[in-house]
Amino acid sequence: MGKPVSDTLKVSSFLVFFLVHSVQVGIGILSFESAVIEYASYDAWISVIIAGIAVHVVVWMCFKMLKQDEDIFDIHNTLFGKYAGGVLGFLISIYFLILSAVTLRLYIEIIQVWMFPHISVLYLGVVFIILFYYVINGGFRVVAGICFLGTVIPLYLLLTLLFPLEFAYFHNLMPVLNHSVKDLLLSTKEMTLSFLGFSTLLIYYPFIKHPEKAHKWAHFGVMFTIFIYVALTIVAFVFYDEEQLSTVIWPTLGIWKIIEMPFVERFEYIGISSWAMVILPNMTLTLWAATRGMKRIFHVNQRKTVIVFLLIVLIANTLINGHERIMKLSDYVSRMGFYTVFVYIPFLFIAYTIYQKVRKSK
Amino acid sequence: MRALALGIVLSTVVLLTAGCGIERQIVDDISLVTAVGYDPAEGNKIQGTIAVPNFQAEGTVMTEIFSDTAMLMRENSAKLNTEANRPLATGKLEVILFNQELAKEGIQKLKDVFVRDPSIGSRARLAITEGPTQEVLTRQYWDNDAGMYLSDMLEQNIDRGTIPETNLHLFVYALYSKGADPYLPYLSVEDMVSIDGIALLDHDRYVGKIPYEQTYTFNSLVGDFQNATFPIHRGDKKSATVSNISSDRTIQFKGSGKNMELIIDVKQKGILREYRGGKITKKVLKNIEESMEKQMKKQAKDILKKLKELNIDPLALGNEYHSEHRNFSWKEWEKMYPELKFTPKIDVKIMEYGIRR
Repeated sequence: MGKPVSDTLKVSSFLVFFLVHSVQVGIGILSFESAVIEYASYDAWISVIIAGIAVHVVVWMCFKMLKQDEDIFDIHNTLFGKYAGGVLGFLISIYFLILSAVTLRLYIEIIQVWMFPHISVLYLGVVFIILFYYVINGGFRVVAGICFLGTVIPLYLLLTLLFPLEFAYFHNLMPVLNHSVKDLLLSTKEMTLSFLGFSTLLIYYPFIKHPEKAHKWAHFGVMFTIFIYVALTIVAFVFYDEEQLSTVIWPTLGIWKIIEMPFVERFEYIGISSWAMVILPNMTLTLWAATRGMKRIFHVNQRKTVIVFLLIVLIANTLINGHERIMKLSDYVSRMGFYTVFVYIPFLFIAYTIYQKVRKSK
Repeated sequence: MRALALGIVLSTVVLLTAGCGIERQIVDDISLVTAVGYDPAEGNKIQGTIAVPNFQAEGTVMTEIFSDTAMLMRENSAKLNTEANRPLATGKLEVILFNQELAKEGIQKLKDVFVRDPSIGSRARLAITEGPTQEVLTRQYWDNDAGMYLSDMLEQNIDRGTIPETNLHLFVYALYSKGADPYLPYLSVEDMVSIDGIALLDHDRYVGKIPYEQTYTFNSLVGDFQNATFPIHRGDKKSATVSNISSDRTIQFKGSGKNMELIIDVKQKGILREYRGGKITKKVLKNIEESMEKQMKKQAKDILKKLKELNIDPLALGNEYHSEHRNFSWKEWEKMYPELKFTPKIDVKIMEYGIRR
């Protein structure tokens, strides 16, 4: 077990709500509708709920596994020993690093396509990286604070879901449950990708005051995410025709395009700019988790790894160009995340439970 | 502390270099296109015409017109750019016109540039014109810019219930939808440019139109609307004009298979605006209501017959049917549609008749 985290560095248990929620809602929410509708058609909003329930189960497993002042690296050590456990922990850290790199690239791509086609990735990347460094350098408490702000400030965007209802065709959603269970589950698999990132929980767990109290807040956080996703899915489904939806790359931004207010001709530009506030907690929490992993495994100074990792993110961002390549990479990362969260964590949970049972009986 | 200092230094550097890589677009230095029109040209080409407002010092607006031919839409924009003194920008595009001759060949391939470009708003209005769009755009609209004038004209007529709500998003929706066909406003060019009915499209091809006289009834079949005016011609002594406060449409499918009957139930509340006959009594009101119902029913039957003949579904009945039936297949619907029996039911209630008996 690592050195216990001192109380002054810990955050209140209710902040877990924001930590879990803010890292789930990220760049995927701008485009998930066209992926989720592929199999279950207009019934796919049910898949969103099923995916959410699956996430609830995994969150429950995480909380059952971990004890006070423990994180995933302790579990790796006890289960697999120092070396194999270290390798697995390293892979987890790298996963978070890649996740953050892809998130940033996807966001910059949106800025490139929608606002400034000529802007250089390097230029935008440097601006963001400085901001990320500033936040992560403040330690976990600052990152948690950013997660709080990153959830609260963009909340007003929820109101924008009311505008497109002017052109809503509610009969799109009928008849409900007109698809096979298989189709629903295939769409569910697509949907789970939009819930990823909450596994950072396994790393910041020792930083929570009274973690047993935080359990319910984590579930509330997931519930809130499900609520937002379901609301958005339904709005997108009544707004777009099924085939039309599958031709749109960013359906959420397309929904914003219809909003016209006396003082803003096009709302999507405000939405995209506000989205920086949503990306910020995503990036900082995953990068913090990645560097924290390095510290736990190699006992290196976290502040220094942050600089190294940020540079890696920046370089990776300038190297990945073009929509097709970005999508391919994002696909890989999503698949990686899917197996980490829905295969590896349950496996770890079962293995760890058996291990504890065996040790107790001895 | 050192980190903070470093952060400040780096931020300053970044801010100083701000603007690099960003294309500046200052309103005064670009030409904001407000309307475009497409006409057929020789060969496999189109003629694109654009209207750009030029604001004069004394408060009036001049419309600059650029026109050229090309095969592709963007090729056309590039050519037009060679004629303009400032770069053309499409961010304020409000009206997109298609010549009916061009629309007969299909506008699916033409709409691509409008849905691919993020700068074009989903609320841009589309319309089909009887004559060349170039003629519509080069008209003088008093002190107004052609694009803004046409956009306002279409908008106020949608609010007034002359034509059903249409915009780029709704058009693309109906285009992709399996159980619906799009419709667009139809503009005619005579002494004035006016809305002369509703253009009907089979998927993306213009196939026919609802004449202006029948737009009121067409509106009532499409959905809910208000404020529109319906003239009731019953000879010189009894004729009247009614405008509607509300109009509710419900659709009902009765029976099954070949005997499927479709009942469109329209319930309207209206105000009597004009009456040639003199004093209004209960009996007179009843008479007016009945003849309005009769005339609307006749028009509705004509419209439905036409839709069936053209085998198009602008009323989105396919979607309606789909939403009410499980185990549904579009093939079955396509076979069923031409044989559907339509029954329009119209119910008109005149609530008020102004400030005179």
